[in-house]
Amino acid sequence: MNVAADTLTEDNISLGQKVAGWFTTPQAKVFLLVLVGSYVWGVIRAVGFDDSMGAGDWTINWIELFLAGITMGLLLFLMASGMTLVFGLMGVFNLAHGAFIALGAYVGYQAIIWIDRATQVTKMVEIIPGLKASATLRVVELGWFYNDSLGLTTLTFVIGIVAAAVVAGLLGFFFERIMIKPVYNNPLNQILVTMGGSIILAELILAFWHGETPAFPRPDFIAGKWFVADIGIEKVRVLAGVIGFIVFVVMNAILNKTKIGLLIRAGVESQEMVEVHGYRIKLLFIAVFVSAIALAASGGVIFGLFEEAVHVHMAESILIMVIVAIIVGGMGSVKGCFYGSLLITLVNNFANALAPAVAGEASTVLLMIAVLMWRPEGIDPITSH
Amino acid sequence: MTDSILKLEGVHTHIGHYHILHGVDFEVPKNQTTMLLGRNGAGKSTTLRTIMSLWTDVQGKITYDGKDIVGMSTPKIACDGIAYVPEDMGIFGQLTVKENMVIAARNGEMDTQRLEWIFNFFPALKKFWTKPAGKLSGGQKQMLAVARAIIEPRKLLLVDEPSKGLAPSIIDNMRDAFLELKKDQTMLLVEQNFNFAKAVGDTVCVMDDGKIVHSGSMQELIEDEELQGKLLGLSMDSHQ
Repeated sequence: MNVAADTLTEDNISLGQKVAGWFTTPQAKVFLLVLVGSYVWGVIRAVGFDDSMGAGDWTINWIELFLAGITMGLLLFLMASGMTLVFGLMGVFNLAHGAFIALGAYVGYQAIIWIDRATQVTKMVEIIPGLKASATLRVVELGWFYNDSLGLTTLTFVIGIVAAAVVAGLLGFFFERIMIKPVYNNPLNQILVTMGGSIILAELILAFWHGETPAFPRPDFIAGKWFVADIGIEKVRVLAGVIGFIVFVVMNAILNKTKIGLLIRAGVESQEMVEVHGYRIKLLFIAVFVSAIALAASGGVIFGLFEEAVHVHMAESILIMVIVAIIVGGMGSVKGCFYGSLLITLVNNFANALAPAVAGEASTVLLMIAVLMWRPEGIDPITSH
Repeated sequence: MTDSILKLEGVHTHIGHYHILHGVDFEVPKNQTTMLLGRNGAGKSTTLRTIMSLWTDVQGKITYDGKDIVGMSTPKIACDGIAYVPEDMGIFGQLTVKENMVIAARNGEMDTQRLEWIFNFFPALKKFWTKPAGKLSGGQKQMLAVARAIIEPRKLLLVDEPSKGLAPSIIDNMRDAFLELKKDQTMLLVEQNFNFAKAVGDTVCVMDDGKIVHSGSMQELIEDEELQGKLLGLSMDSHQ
């Protein structure tokens, strides 16, 4: 029985050995290189070349950048995970994904603002908390979203997310049936069709919202920062990170613990064999595509709050990051997409602080080139699972 | 006359610009094992894929269990009781052995008794139950592919080259498993290994250039070395 030796011993590996083993994986090496490299580079710069910052200041700054990068990476994963799954299962690289993120942002914004305006009541609030003298009170219109009630704000936010997911999901259904279905197995036509679809969707958004780019201020409960010691992190990033992490956990649970997830994982390997076993993979395609669009749209709402504005061009800037995250992680790999998303936002943040000349998209593209030169299939490709 | 579960009449298959099957006619009798033999490129694998509707540019008639299945979808054909093991085995390498079997068990939970019956044929599957199927050896992958096909009772089992690429000792195990399996399973097997074919087959069809050039009982072919030489380009002696 010629089974590789490692398969015979996996059950006997302790947790410590598993953790130690993870540090030998390609993804761990890249993360360690980025984290240690950026920290050491920053310390050297602070000690040797920057009079305005000491090593201690840089350490605090580095931790803030790290936390901001991780939370933003989780938001990016929320938007990118569906796209990589669609590619892995259906072989479709949907370049209209970014437009659906923008659509989600607009729909979520609109739903939230409608609810907020419809529920507005006039209230007297204290300008100086605790001081109830009439001279210190002012009249405000408070709706469910921009409110001091965490429950009402959360409820409105959830409704906004659900509205964005449902509307974008429905549109995604028709998009898959009308535009994607005829070009399965034809990559060149897929690029043309999805790119065209993206332009059409962006124009529809502009037409429906009269070309507006509305401000989308954060409600009180996610405005500002939380501080632990001197380390601060924006509340909206924590919200994005928590939601992104929940999606990662739920997605992993679905993929690994349910029959649907099993069929998706099998379909990524061979659509034909899934059909040979009696399952209609086309239905699975539709379900995954619609879910991917719904996830992207949900991410768009949070991204709108993060940017405090909603605009159709967010589609283009996000799409580049989403594509780089997918390629760096390994096309079609959900776990790879998770690592890729975190890596990109971390590198982006550190590059902004340490080397503004290569900040933004330049740093992510440079990262992608470096990773692909080292591992052409990405840091955690499907074949390595 | 034995009832047939599958009957192909004048089946033509085109793949892209190529005309591969040129009017294939044969029957698979119920409760028997039919061997489909022929040289490389004769159209054997295409015939199995055509039956499963994996090639769609098909003319002619394929009657399975009284129904014409030309144009029917692959999942529907599978649900109607035909199991298929392709030449490359079609294992989901990233999934564990157990997960591969769970997918094959369409009707929900696996029948424990049937699973134990399968483990009797292929004990390696039990040993590597929770291991990734991609890490199994070639023989074990073939065992898994066949086990998936029989985890639930099927009316017809199609297997494309069950002995391909296997070590001689594993081929013997596989042959024994098929001998046991054929007791209550109708099968259509594509095979290049004549020793395997003569041990397992009841009836035989020989293909050449996309057509059936001979049909009959396996015993007849075994006894007629001249016919073997003519049809298969071999004699029993040269293929021991």
